[in-house]
Formats: sequence, structure tokens, C-alpha cells
Amino acid sequence: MKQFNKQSFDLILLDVMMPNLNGFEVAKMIRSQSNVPIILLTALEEEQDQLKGFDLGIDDYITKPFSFHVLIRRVEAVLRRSKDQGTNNGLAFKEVQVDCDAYKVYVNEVEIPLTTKEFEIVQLLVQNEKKVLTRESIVEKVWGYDYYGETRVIDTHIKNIRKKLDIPYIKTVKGIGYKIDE
Amino acid sequence: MNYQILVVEDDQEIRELIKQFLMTHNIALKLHPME
Repeated sequence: MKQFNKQSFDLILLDVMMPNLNGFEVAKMIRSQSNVPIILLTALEEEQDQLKGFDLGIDDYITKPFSFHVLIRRVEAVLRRSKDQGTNNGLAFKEVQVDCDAYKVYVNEVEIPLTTKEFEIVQLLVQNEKKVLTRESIVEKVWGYDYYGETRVIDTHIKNIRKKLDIPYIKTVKGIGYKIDE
Repeated sequence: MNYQILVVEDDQEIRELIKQFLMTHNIALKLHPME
């Protein structure tokens, strides 16, 4: 994580079985800060482990022993997809820009100070533009699987985000959750 | 365009092989694996 925080990367090749911190934990930490593509390398062939990786937001998965030629092709494919999406760890919706690396949000190119949770909610909404996100899914993504509190906590954060960003795009979907849409 | 790739792999032998492969088989992509 120290290396990851030191500079920006285009792709992470991440081994799952490491002595101190397993790759799933590292993937979770990286995803909490960045959308950089991740390919997991692992000896685990269990479907459950692969699904766990995808649930954490990895982009691809390769089991050992793997062919280096196949690995290279997968690296190329993931980089190509990432480039096509123009991610560069930046997202945008209308006049809202999200710098995922710097944890900053801009409206009409003016930086809007947000708390970390507020930033993560905005990032999630913009990543999923026009899709309705349930309160539960927002809590799961932003607070993590271990959060047992009230999902209505989201409402307070949304209220604050609306006030700070002063944009009309964060819509309430009654009885379900929120989305960012025109 | 240069790509910066972070290789997080505990097994040094595999790590080295990945690095070598990335560097020697993908010149067009200019991959720069780092540990």
C-alpha cells in the first residue's frame, strides 16, 4: 500500500496469498481509494474466492499456474478497456468532476471540500450514473461489509452533499435509494 | 503512452518472471513493472 500511495499506476497485478495481508484485503483498500484496474493472481480455484474478488471490484482474475502469454494478453485487454473508458482515475457527470486519486470533487472546475464519506458517495454515484443505488448498496460500498448501523445515515450525507455541490442531479428514488441523473 | 504496473507478488521468482515478461514481450506497450 505504501508503494501504491506513493505514485499513480495504470494496473495492479495482485497476488492473493501473501503472508501479512491477503490480496482481497489489499484489493478492498485499493478500491476504497481508486478505480485503477486490478488483476488478481492466485492459486485459489474456488468459485467462491473468484466471486469474492469480483465483489471487491477487481477487473480480472488468473489462477496459478498461469501461462505468461495469457497473463500478458489479459494485461493488454484490461489496459485497453481502461484506456477506452478514459478512466485515468477521473470521472465526470455534467459539470461534476471526480478526481479519484486526489479524492477531490470539482463543480465547474471549482474544488468543493467534502468529507471522505461524502467524496466516496459522490464517486459511487458518478461511477454508476443514471443507475439507482439502494441505501444498502451504498453502505456496503462506502462503509464496507462490516457496517451494522442504520442505512438512513446515507440520507444525512446526501443532504450535505446536495448543499455543498449545489447541483440538481442527485435524485432520491423513493423507498429505494439514490442516483445521479439529469 | 507509458503504463505503470505495480506487481504485488510475494513469490520473488514469479515476480521476476512477470517483470521480465512484461518488459520483453510488450515493448509496444512500454510496460514498467514495479514491485
